[in-house]
Amino acid sequence: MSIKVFYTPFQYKGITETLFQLTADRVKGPDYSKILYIAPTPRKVKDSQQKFHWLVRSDYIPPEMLTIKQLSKRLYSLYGDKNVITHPLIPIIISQLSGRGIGFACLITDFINEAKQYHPDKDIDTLRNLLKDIFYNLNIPEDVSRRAMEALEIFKEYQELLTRNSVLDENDIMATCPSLIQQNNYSPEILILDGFYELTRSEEAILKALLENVKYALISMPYEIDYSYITDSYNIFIRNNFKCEEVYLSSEDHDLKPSYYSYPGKEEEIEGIAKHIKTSFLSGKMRDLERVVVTFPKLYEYSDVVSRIFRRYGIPYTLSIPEPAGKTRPFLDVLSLLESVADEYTRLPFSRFLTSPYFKNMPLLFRKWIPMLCLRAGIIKGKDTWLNLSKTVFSLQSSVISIPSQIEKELKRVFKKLSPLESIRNNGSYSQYCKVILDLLNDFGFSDVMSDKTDLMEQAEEIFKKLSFIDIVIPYSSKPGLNTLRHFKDSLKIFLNSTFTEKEGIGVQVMDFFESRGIEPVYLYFGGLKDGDLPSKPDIDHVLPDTVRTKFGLVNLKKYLFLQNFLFNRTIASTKNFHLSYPVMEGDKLFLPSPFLPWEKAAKEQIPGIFSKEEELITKGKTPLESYVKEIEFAGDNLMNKHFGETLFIRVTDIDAYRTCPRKFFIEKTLQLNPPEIKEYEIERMLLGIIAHEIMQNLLSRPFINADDLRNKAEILLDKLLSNKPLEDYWKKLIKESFLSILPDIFELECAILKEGYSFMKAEVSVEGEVLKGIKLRGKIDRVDKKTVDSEQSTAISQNKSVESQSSPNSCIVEIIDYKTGTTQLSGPQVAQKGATLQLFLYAALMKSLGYKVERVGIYSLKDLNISWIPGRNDRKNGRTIEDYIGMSLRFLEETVVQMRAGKFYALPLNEQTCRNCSERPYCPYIQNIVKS
Amino acid sequence: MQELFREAILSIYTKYSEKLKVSKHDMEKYLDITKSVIISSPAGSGKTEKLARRYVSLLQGGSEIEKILAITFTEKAAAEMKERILHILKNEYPELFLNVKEKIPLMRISTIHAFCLKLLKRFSIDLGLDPSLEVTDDFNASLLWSESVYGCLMEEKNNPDLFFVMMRDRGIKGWDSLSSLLDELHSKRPYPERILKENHSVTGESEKEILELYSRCLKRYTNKKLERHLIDFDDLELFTYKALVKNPEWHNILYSFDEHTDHILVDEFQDTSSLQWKIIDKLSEEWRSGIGAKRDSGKLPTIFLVGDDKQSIYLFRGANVSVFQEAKELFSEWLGKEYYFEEIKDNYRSLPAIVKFTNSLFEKLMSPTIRDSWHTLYTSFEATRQGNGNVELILVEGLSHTKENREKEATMLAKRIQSLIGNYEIYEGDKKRPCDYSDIAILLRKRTHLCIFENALRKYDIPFIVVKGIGFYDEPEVALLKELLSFISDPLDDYSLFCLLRSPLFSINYKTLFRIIAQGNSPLIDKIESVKNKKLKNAFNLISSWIERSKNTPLAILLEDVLSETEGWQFYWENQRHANIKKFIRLIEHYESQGFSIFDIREKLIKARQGDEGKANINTEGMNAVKIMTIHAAKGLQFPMVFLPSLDEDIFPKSSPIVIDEEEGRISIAYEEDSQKRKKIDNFLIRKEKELEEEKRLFYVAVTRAQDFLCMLGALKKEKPPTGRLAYITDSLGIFKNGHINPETNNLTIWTESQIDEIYSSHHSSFITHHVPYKLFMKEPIYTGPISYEPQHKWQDVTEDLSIETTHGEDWVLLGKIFHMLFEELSKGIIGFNEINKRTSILLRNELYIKDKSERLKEIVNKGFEKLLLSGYLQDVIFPIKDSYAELPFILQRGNTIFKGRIDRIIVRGDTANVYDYKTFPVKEKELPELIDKYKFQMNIYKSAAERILSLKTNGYLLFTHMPLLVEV
Repeated sequence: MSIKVFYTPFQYKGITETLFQLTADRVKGPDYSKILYIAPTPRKVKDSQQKFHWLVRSDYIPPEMLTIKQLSKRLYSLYGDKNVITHPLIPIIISQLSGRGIGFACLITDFINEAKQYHPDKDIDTLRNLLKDIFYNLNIPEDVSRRAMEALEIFKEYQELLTRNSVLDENDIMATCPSLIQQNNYSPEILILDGFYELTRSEEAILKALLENVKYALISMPYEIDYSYITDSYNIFIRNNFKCEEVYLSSEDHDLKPSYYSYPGKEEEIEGIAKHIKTSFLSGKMRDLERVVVTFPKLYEYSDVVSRIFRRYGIPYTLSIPEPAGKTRPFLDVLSLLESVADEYTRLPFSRFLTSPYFKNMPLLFRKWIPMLCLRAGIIKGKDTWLNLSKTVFSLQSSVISIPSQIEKELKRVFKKLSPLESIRNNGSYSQYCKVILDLLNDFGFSDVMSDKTDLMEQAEEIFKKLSFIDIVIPYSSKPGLNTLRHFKDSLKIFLNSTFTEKEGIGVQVMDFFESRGIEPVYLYFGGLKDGDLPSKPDIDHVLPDTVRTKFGLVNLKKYLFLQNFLFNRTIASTKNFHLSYPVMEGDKLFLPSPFLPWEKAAKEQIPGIFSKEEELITKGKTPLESYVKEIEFAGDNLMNKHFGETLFIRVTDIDAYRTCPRKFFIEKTLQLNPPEIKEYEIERMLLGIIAHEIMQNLLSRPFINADDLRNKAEILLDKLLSNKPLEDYWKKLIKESFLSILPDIFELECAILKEGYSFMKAEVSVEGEVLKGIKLRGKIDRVDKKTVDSEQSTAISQNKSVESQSSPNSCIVEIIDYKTGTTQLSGPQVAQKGATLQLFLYAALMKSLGYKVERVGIYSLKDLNISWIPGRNDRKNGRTIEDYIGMSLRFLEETVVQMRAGKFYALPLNEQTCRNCSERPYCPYIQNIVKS
Repeated sequence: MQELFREAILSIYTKYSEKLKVSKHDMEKYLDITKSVIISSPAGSGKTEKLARRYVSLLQGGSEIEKILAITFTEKAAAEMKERILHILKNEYPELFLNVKEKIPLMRISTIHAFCLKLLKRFSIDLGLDPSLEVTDDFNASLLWSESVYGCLMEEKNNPDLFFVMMRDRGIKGWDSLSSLLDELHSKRPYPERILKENHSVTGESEKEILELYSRCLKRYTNKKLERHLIDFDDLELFTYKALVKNPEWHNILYSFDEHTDHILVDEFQDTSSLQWKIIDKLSEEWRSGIGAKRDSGKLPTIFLVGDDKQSIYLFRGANVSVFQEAKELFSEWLGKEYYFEEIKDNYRSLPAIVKFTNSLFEKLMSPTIRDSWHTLYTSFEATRQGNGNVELILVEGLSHTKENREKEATMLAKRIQSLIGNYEIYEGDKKRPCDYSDIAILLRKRTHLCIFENALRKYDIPFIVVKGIGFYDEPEVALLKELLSFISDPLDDYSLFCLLRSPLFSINYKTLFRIIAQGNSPLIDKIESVKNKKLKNAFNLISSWIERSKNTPLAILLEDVLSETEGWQFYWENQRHANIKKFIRLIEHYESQGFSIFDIREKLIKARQGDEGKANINTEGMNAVKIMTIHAAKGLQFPMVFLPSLDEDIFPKSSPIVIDEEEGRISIAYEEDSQKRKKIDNFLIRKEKELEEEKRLFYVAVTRAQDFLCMLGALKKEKPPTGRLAYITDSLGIFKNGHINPETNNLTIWTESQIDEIYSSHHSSFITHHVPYKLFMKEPIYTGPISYEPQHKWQDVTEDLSIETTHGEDWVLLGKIFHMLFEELSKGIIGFNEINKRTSILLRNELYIKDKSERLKEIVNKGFEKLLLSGYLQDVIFPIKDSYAELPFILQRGNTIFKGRIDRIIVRGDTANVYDYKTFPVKEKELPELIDKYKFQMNIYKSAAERILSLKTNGYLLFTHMPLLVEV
């Protein structure tokens, strides 16, 4: 056995090539299968495979190149006979075993993992005693040590469970590996250990077994005095166990004094990197993009922005971050399906599921209609609400588009399919859930319609197959909460988030900092170097305090931080060309540079040139955007005649709407366009308004003797009206009782009207007429009361005919009432000065044109239970009559109609309150460009 | 924005550090680390600097960095504090700096919320929370709240209860009234929850009823969060307090905190809520007792609080200004000689004129005559800077409409700025220089009339930048992208499509749109599809392609593509608009990365419109532009010249039907729908007074931002007394005498409109047009195309076969794996023939969890081997043979492609290597030609590899093990 250890300073480049060169001298090609190359990360292995090829440059049988974990798995697959559970299953098993949540189970899993890695040779009782001693010696109260003892108990149960079921986990496989190496005499001729700097005990045991069997071994050993705290244990392990020849390599490069760039934000930082790469490539300075590495301490925070910006700049790249299945759209849609069933079909997850493109058997009409209907129908959750979806929308008449009737039928079918899952959502075993969900996925045609490269169903089957395994190892638990669909969903989420798909690609290699360990890129871009991210702090250890971790031989906080310093300096020393950067801000957060960088020495970088279409277009911009914000006007267009022409009747309510803001009127009333809104509870509100009007019209159209009589009539009427409304009984009952509760006040108001000499004449009165020459109006008056001096007139207007068609009611004196369910006041000055709320006066003008004498108009607020009259007390004081108001209204009307016909729909609010929540604000000239220059 | 803060920090540091060092005698007291300290430090007195220096003193005194907890008001302030401490260390104590630098990650400088989250996470298990807990965002919290209210309501579905009664009793709009009441109560958290949990007495019946109903909804809401391992923002403090006081494990938590903390420092203490104070109080309880483990070990724990009650401006967020006074009293009582209080009097920021004006105004406004704990008591400060400075008040003649007043005022403001630029001199250190636009800040109380000011500045050619301006979603570029996403999520959303079509991206005019929309009732997208207009056809094609792409393209990328494909970027070239788009895209990217669907995003955006999201921060560095921001946003900043417009604006707070207030530890609640009645109820009256008091403080903050020059503006209506903050000035300084302006008002120059016009005209000719340099790269080389790149080598795996499952089902994928493993183990001699059965059972057991299936598959494997044995292929090909290889890896380079794979079997016979590839799935005879053709390429690669590596002739065979049949390829 001959072992050569190469002590390598950070700046030494090409150690892997040096090791390969030395082995290639000893092994005759092209069969290199006798070489076993071990590196710490899969990425380093892949990189070394390429390096080996560049060295050999022919066709050959490659060396076996693996990580320690891969080696142990490979050997176990050949020589082992037990079932192996994948890592993501462990927290789920622990959760079932301990009866605790997944979060807790993950903590215990980490504890077990570390115990097995760092103490593979100790049984649980020994570990318990060891920990007890540590806690005791550190004088740590029993309360704190209790958690560790609890974790050990669970560890024990877990281990017993595995043994009972003849199962191993991945740590056990590593623990078994040394004996497999020895028993099967696994002995590569040459062993290369490359890139390691520290090992767990479990890894040490494997390497020891390998080194004992091997003829010739080459080992690279980082050598930096400043970092001996990190590398000593590995060095000592090799030196204490084996006789080695030591070779000290030297580097001509001097100490690094890294400079770095600061950028205003993350976006600008990545743009800076992209520009640097692009300009270097275009200038010919950088040719082989595969040798360009872009890395970040927290790649997951950067991966999306890197993808987007590199794409924008046309830089080919490979993002080596494996994507967890739980973050992919198809599986997020599956999780939505489970969330929907677990939580009574809440709007958002259920809409997502119904419209998912990954369920190809889902009716297409869902994709078209559900996004619109689920909002308009005001769904919060509940199967019944979904099943009444189109009826609800229809009853509100809020849509001019006809909704297909099959929607509810199809929804029923979906609910039927979901019923097996629904039936077990409070109590199901893992295998039951897996089976039912797999059946559902099959039924709904779970597949990737966009790409034929991935078979989603196969992936799903694999995942659910593994999850079903839980029932085999652990008996069904009756502990509350552990058998619910929600708990299963949590388990699935954990599992999916640990199930990765690797991506292969060409171009710039974008990778996580930890993954870039040991790689020697030609160009290194190291971004995101901000305080808090590098170094980062480890997650809180809920089981072992830091002092205990130290004594227990685990990585403690100090080492964790120092290790990052070691890796940072090793990484930037691995290349001659590095570009370090950090973003100063993100949103409102301010960042400081990583403490590993020289303090207050950040430089600013500006690369001349335009490198993307976006940059090019931005430089072309000349005109401020305000100039694109246009008024709406159609001068001389015959379109206006079609809508507001002299021969046509204009709705009275449109006059007020136009005056409120012509632009808003045009968009909302003429074009009938309204932005999407979340109408939670709106349905009940809107229906209530409709029903309230109906009740008032019907109830007061018949005479009543007294309050009791009115109540009796109201009850009968309410029952009748509510019976055919698409509302749940609860709401019906509420509407009925709410209305009955205000009935005494209504009775009072009606009595007051009677006392003032009026009696009900007609409800829902359709009126139309030419109030001014060339201006025809029409509308529907909620209620007309007549002055009781002439009772004959009360029959002049028949139920179904318009006022116009009645015989001339010359001497009939009336009052006009409009019902409102909100608070509304009629303000005389507002009418007179601004021409606001003209509706009732224009009705009055119409009635007048039909020969009626209108004495007053009023708004009947069902909310405040009062009537606001004009002319009111102040008017009488000022001598202002209804005729004055009608006159003013007609003048405003004339002015308004002229503007309408001229096609002038300017942004001109009558009152600025209108603008406050107006959806037109971003496009409105009034808001966007108030002061006209 | 970051530049503003940096500038502020550095300028404070450079300007005052010398002075601070010189006046060490004063500083020594608050730097005495044997005492707990409270500093009342007015604006411009270097408050945060003092905290940083205290921190440094603690380090110098040997405190461990990880045992100092510093609490700041915002996350940004935390970073700034860290930066300031390190800056002091580096410049004044380089050795200590080197030591500290290693430990920067251990520095505990954070907001109270971040501190609480950390504490909750650390003790999550003891507190019955899931350790994976996360803080949910407002949108998600509002969804859960909405579902909870609905859930409570539906609980009554078959048995009407309190909800029903309360709705019914509120009449026809009962639900509206009740739901908004519940929402309002919920928005006042943590107070309603504290009333419920801390047993505060509630007297009114309506209040009791509402709280009962709220409590039901809250319970459901809490459970929903727990189920999902979520907590909301308000929970952070509530849960922490509960953990420290009520949880059975509270002593452990306090023990642990005590073990890890020796000193607490709190910045901006005046904005602390009473709950936050209770937390700090509880954490440091033992320290004040004069006993405890820490003192026994010789350590003296301290608390350092710094703030200025005159700058408490966050009442609406729960800040309780009384806490400051309370803390002073309690510290004095508890700590005696171990406590030191200092009222700082030096102002390092403003010139004497501004200081004098501030003193004379606020001495009257915040006079000591009324004494409730929430009234602010003013203590005057002294200017330390040399020079004069200037304070002005511009009065415009008031008109009947507010908007008109603001327009007039904005014009005056713009004219005044133009007359000052290049003429007025400000100090830079000890020297003077003419001012430019970047020296000026316009501070607004509200954003309501922001547009008016923006337009006036534009009109007078004044470059400006709105800093942290809210109304992000009202910006046309942001709204457009929002509509685009909305439409992609719902192609029946006609409104969004309409907005898209009329936007500059498509520039379809209103007339065309009107004609199309007027045609029938079908969705707009269908109408556009059938139109012949070329422009619309193109639009339809583009839009349709976006919908299709949205299925597999991240939305953030799609948005960028849309703006490039339509060349839309050229319309949004202005700095702010471009930055807004970027902010929106990043926001969408963030939502997507969190797994939100397009529907989630659509709803988030709908809800966000009603919120107050700020416009994107843009880098103001080197930009000669006036800054416009709200007074709240300006807190902590300073500017050479400050303009405060709209002083006459109404400052009367709007009252809501429900008010919750805290007084001396008691929380009271009052409810009244009728706004007239509220005017007679104490709770509402006190709240109103508190809000008015806060207005004064806000005005104080605004005035004290100015360093050299302060200009205030307001409208004065004829024959009406001044209103709003203008009245503060006129009343306090006696500006009016007998209805006329008193020209002899001290410390203040008063201008009228005509005077400003005159000044403006006299300076007009000297104006220089200042433009922000938007186009830095205009003449630079353009390389916008993608990089044309071919890698030197391409690696290709030739062994994978994905088609088996689709053709033969998943069982055959598994069987293929089992057969290959068995063949390899047999060939390598790892197992013998008689071990096949046992090994098959093990492999199947490890792969399958359904027993029946396992038996069936075992049967297939057994039959397969029987057939292979009978056919002789097992013996000839699979069994161990000399000069053979099994599962042999290889690398083969052909041109630029490097093939890698594993050859199932190679048997060398003489000078020929026979290469075998196993195909284990069922094959029918008629399928053979097609299959052979399919695998020809793979086999050719295998043969080439074997030939090149072994230097032998090769034959290639496909062994169809299920038939079994050996076919030469």
